[in-house]
Order: sequence, then structure tokens, then C-alpha cells
Amino acid sequence: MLFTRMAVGGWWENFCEFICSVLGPPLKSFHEPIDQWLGSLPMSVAIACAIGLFVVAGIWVWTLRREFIFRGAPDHQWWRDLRIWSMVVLLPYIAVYLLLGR
Amino acid sequence: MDGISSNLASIDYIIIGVYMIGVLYIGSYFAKYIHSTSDFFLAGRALPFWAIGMSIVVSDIGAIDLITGAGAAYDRGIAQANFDWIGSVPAILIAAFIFLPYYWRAGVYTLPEFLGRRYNAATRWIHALVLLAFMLATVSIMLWTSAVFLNKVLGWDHLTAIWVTTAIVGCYAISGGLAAVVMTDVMQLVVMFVGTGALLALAMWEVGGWSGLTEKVLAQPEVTQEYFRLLVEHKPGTEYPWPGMVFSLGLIMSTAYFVGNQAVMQRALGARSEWDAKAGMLTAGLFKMMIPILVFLPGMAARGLFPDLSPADAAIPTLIDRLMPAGLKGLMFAAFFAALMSSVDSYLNSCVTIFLGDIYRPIHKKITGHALSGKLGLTLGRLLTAGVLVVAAFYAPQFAKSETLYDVIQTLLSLFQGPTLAILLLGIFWHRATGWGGLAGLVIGVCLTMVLNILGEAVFLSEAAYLYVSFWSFWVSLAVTIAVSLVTTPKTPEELQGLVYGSVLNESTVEGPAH
Repeated sequence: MLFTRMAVGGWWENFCEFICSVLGPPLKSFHEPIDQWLGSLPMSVAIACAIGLFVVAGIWVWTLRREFIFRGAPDHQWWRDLRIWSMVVLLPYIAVYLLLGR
Repeated sequence: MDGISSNLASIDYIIIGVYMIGVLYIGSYFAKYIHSTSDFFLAGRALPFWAIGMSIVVSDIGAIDLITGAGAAYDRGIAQANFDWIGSVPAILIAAFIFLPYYWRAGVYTLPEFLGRRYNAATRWIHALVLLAFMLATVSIMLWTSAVFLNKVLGWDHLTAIWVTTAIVGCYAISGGLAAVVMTDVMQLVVMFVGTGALLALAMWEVGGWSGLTEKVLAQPEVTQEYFRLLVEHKPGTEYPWPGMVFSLGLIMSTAYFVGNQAVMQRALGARSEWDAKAGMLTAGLFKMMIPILVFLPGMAARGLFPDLSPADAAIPTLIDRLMPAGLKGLMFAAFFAALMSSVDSYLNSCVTIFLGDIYRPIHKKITGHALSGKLGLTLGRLLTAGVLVVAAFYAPQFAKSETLYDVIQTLLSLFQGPTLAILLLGIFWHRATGWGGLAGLVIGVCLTMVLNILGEAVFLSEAAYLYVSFWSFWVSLAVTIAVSLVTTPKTPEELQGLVYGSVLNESTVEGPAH
């Protein structure tokens, strides 16, 4: 609540109180069912979503055209293939979330 | 956080002195290669991928992370690592392969400049002003963090520490421009990794390795198994609930950070080729894996060794004080200063780039009728760097009242991350997005972030309201931009050439930036 602690005078505190009293209850009633639904999901869903992000990113990179990947490179040696670089970057993250996510 | 200064030995002061001289020498060495604004702001577009990658990481990991990030890890556990893991890598790939080629081909200096071309001048100005305010505040926070640390390490009073830091950073940032900033960043990354690596080794040895750490921390009555889990349940009282980490941090906040952060993008745009720019981003992704291990794990080890620290931000200074021998203390001080200076100089250079490019340059052209000359731009750039630094230094003590600086930075970021990403995505992927649509999406989005930040825990389940603020402001900005665009006149295909999807990725003949 950084904003409500800002020491810029009484008018700001009054404004914050006004916002909270007018918008707080309707937005809370909108957000509460979402919170309850998310709270009911098992943690396996959380891990799947996290790892899914990395996997989808990895698959997407391989759909990019070779010409686009090498654009600006001095040559087309295999080790300049940024799709391979992406895999090298992604794999440790997937391993970490598999190990420490649960 | 007491008592460190009394334990500094002569060898520590020698190491600190050598480090300072080295940084100043590199800064002044690169000054002789600066002849134009392109040299100053984009390093003459000659940076290799490894320097870009290292510079991005070291600019991103500042003194704030070393102190408050480690403090948050002490308090909240390994979930803090999400900010550098899931909060980095998918975003880095998106930045490297989607956004970077657009900026590169458009030949732009800044993100507001890109928004100006795609939408309109008002969008450019408003975005530039919001970014400037954020960067100025961030530099002030960094200077304050430096003051707190130097106060504990060398016993200096806060104001002296702020002005000494200001003078040292100013010397090489003003003279050398981006090349000096990036090349000192390379040296600073090495110093930072060696210093924090030594601290990690000592802390883990002392706590008895990973098994000793888990045993000692879990023996504390208020700590649960969740302290060692990256993803934490979505329930009341949780600091970092997993949906916020995955969907907000992983998808929106991090993407907005890497594609919208001038300090990050400016490095990539200074590359010698498009391949180096992309490879530099990926190199940064690889180094980012190490940051939680080097910075947050010592914070957790401190929890096992010193369970009653208050405030939690005292974790790293306490470890330095209690565990590090003479010589290593000096190295750790150099590592801290490396982290601090690399971040301050990066933000400073980016701040001036935005002010000069997006605010002053259009005004100059309107008043004088001709474009800003390279020589005048360079002089103004240097003067402004000094000016911004001085303003930030004057403002820095204001942050003495703030409780958790890490959360302050994240809250400041949440003020524009969601709206920025929304209008950027639509601007690139949707030909129908109009100037009025982008402007409305940005303005309404930023206003919404302020309202949501005010509401905070009155609406959201976690104390870290910024996670939700970025998420919802993104979707609302997206909806507003679409709605307004549908009722306003779109740009012609000629006007959108080189700015939207299809006219860039499929254009194989374009080999370099316009500048």
C-alpha cells in the first residue's frame, strides 16, 4: 500500500479513502470468486502452468524461420543457431521448476 | 547492521581503491571514442553479444537486489527467485525474437519513439514522461541504498555517501556514454559474481550445506515447507501466490519489463548486428539463472544462521560482517558498489536518452525549424546526465521513510507495465490499432494502475498488489485500445510499413537499422 502511505497531505488520504470506499466493495466482490477458484486448484496445476510457459516458449522458437534466426550473423555455423541457444537457456529453468516447484 | 566498518582491514581498503581506479580508468578510456549522439547513446552500434548479455544482467541486478532482494528471500524464502527465473526467461525470448527486430529495423533510440511512430506524438510524450519519472525515482532509490550500505560499511553519513556515489558514477557515465557503461558493466559482472560467489560459499559452508539450511530453517516455528517452494498456494496471507507469479510476473510484468525497459533495450540496440542483439538477450537469460543462487540463497542461509535479524534487509551486511575474512570484505564491498554503479549509470544513460530523444528533440525542431545537431546533442546529453544525477541525489533521502524498497520499485513498475505491453502488442500485431486507440489505452491504463494500487489489499488477496495491478491493467488497456480503435480512423498501409507484423519479419532485404 505504497500509495496510501504517501505523505503528500490530507487531501491525498481523503482521496484514497474515497476510492477505497466507493470502488473497494464492488471490485472485491468481482475478485473474490476468482481468488476462491484459484485457491481450489491443486499445486500440480501451478507446476504444469509454470513449466508449460517454458515449454511453449521453446516450441515457438523452433517455428521461427532459419533465415530470421541467422539474420546479421557472420556465418551460418550450427553454433550460431539461436534456437539451440534458446534450448540451452530454457533447460536449466525447466529442471529447477520440476525440482523446486512442488 | 552494525559493526562492519570497524572490521575493515587495510587490504580491504586497497581492494576497494583498486576497483574504483579501474572503473574510472575504463570510463575515461572510452571517452575518446565518443564523437556523436549515436556513439554516446548506442555505443556507435558496435557492441558484441557477450558484452550486451553481461551488461543487461548487471544493470538489472543492482544494489537493491543485493540488499532488499536478499532480505526478501530471508523473509519469504525461495519464491523470491521467481523474479529472476520465471520473471526473466520466457520474456527474454519474446523480447529477442519479436520486439527487438522491430526496434532494430525502425532504427529507434527509445520505446516512446517507437510508440510515437506507430501511434501519435501524444502517446510518445506521455509514455516518455511516465518512464522518466520512474527512472528518476529508481536512480534516487539506488543512491539511497548506496548511502545505507556505505553508512554501515565505511561509517559515512548518508548525505556524504550519496554525493560520493554521485560524483564517481557521474565521472564515467558523463564522459564515456553507453560504451563506457557497458564495458564497466562487464568488469562489474565479474567482480559481482566473484564477490557474491565467495559470500555464498562461506554462508553455505557455515550453515551446513543445503540439508543443514533446510534443517535449521524448518526448526524455526514460524517457517513451513513453503519456504523452500518456488510456487506457493493461492491463499490469504501469501506473499507471492502462484497465479501472480506465473500469469502476471511470468507473462505480463516480465515481458513488459524486458521490451519496455529502456536500460535493457538500449544495450541490445547498441549491438553490431541484429544477430548480436538477439544473442545478447539470450546470454542475459543464461546469466539470470545464477542471480537467485548468488544473491537470494545467501539471504536464506542467513535465516538459518541468524534467525532473529530485524530488518530482514540486514541479511547480507550481517553475513559480510560475521563470515568474511579481511580481503574478501573489500571484494564484497567492490561487488556491492559494482552492482550499484552499473544500475545507476544504466538508468542514467537511458533517462537522458529518453529526455533528449523524446522530449527535447521534437521541441527543438519545432522552435528552430531544423534537427538537433550531433555535437549539440552530445553536449546536451552530458549536461543532462549530470543534471539528472544531481536531481536524483537531492531526492534520494526521501526514500529513508520507505519500509521495503523492493516492493516500492515493483509498485512503480506496475504503474505502466500493463498498459505499455498492451499498446505495444496491439501496435505490432493489429493493423487496425489507431493513434487515438493507443493514447486512450495508455492513459486509462495508467490511471487504472494508480486506482488499483490505492485499493491494494482492500481488493487483492496478497500484500504484493502490484502482481494483480499489472495483470488487470494490461487487459483493461487492451480492451480500451481495441474499442477506441474500432471507432477511429486507422493509419494507411504506407504509414504502417516497417512498424507492424509482416512488414518486418518477412522483410529479408533489410539488414540494419536506419541510423
